Amino acid sequence: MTNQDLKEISALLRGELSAEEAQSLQNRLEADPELMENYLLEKQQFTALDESQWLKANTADKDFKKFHNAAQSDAVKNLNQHLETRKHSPTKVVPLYQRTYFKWVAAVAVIALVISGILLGGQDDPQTLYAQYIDMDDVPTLTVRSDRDSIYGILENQFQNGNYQEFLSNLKENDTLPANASLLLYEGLAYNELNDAPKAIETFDELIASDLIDAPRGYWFKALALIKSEDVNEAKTVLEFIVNNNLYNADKAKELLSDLP
Amino acid sequence: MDPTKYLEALVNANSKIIDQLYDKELPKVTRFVMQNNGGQQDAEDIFQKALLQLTTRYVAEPFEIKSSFEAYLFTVCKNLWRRELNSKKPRVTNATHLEPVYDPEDLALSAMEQKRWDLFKACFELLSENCKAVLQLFFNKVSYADIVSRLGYNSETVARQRVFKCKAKLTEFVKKDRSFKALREL
Repeated sequence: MTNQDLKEISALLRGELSAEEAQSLQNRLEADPELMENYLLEKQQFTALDESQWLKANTADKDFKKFHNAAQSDAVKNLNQHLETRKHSPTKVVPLYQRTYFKWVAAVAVIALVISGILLGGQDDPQTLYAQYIDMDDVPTLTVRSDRDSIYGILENQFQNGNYQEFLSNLKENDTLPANASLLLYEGLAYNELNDAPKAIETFDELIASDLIDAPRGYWFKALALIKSEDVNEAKTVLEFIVNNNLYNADKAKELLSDLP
Repeated sequence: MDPTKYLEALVNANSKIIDQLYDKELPKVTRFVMQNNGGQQDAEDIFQKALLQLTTRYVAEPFEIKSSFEAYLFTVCKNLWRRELNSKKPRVTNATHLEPVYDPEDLALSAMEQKRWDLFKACFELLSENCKAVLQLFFNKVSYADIVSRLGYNSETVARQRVFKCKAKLTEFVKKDRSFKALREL
């Protein structure tokens, strides 16, 4: 396979070929098993790493029968029955939105939101915007590293379970860990969740100043920390910097800028 | 707790462990689903499907989870929800007509897809930080011009060469993997 073949396959997967070029490549793929094998591999890589896509397996695949039999095994059927029973169990925790007192609280909150909406000219207050835009899932996982050193797994668990104080204490005790963008993000976010804005911002600044590959993410989380601490003007400056330099989450930054009061 | 113990607990429908998972992990999944165009019912269905999927896979061929079980379960839920959003069939989640969660064929397919996802992610993690960054952008369809600006390359030609080399490296890792033989027949 030549470099040109690879470029064409990439262009096909990225939707950059004209219908005519795509058809021509398709014909070549059908006639050339080696090219087809490389195309399938490229496609699998492309799909596996593009989190917005998902290439479905199908019932003709080699392993399907084995997995299908497993899905019909007693173990899976029993578990399903157990989970279904759990679903309909009277002792099941009633979802928050179904609780009577919550309905009253919600009614009051809706009125408050309408009033604040009117007062703010339809714009959300900084705290609401923070809740809307913060996404802990934006933070890369630490667990791959836990294969080599379980401390990362412990820290990640503490963070994901919301034990931020415990996470920070544990991190302090392990201050010899090598520089890691995810750890700095976790640390900044933990301070943020504990309402310690100065520490959160200091941590994100440390990330920004580092030469780590994920350093630009620091700007986005710093902007959110500033919003949480209601320093809207400074947040706007950081967001504008993100947009102007097309940094991480530039689109979201643009959107957030237009949402800020 | 060792991730395998969780898998065994699922195979044995261990109520105590299942309750713990629902209490601690379902809220995180609910938050993710609700942030991504879903509702409470969707989150509960996805969570149930994830537990069934993991059990299906473990019964089909015992496998090892290298991260914490909780983190892996969350990844499975995220992938299932993306799969749901990307499926052409609209979901029906009103109170009077719920789609069945237990669908052996779909469970088998989603377990196979998760296995494939694991392989590529594992190989991807073997790459250098720079390769990961450039490929992540490439696979997310970021233009070469943007890749140049974001990663500070001198030109688009340099960025293209970098993508080419990194993909070649990734391909090499995937081909070396024992699971690849099965994958190529997909």
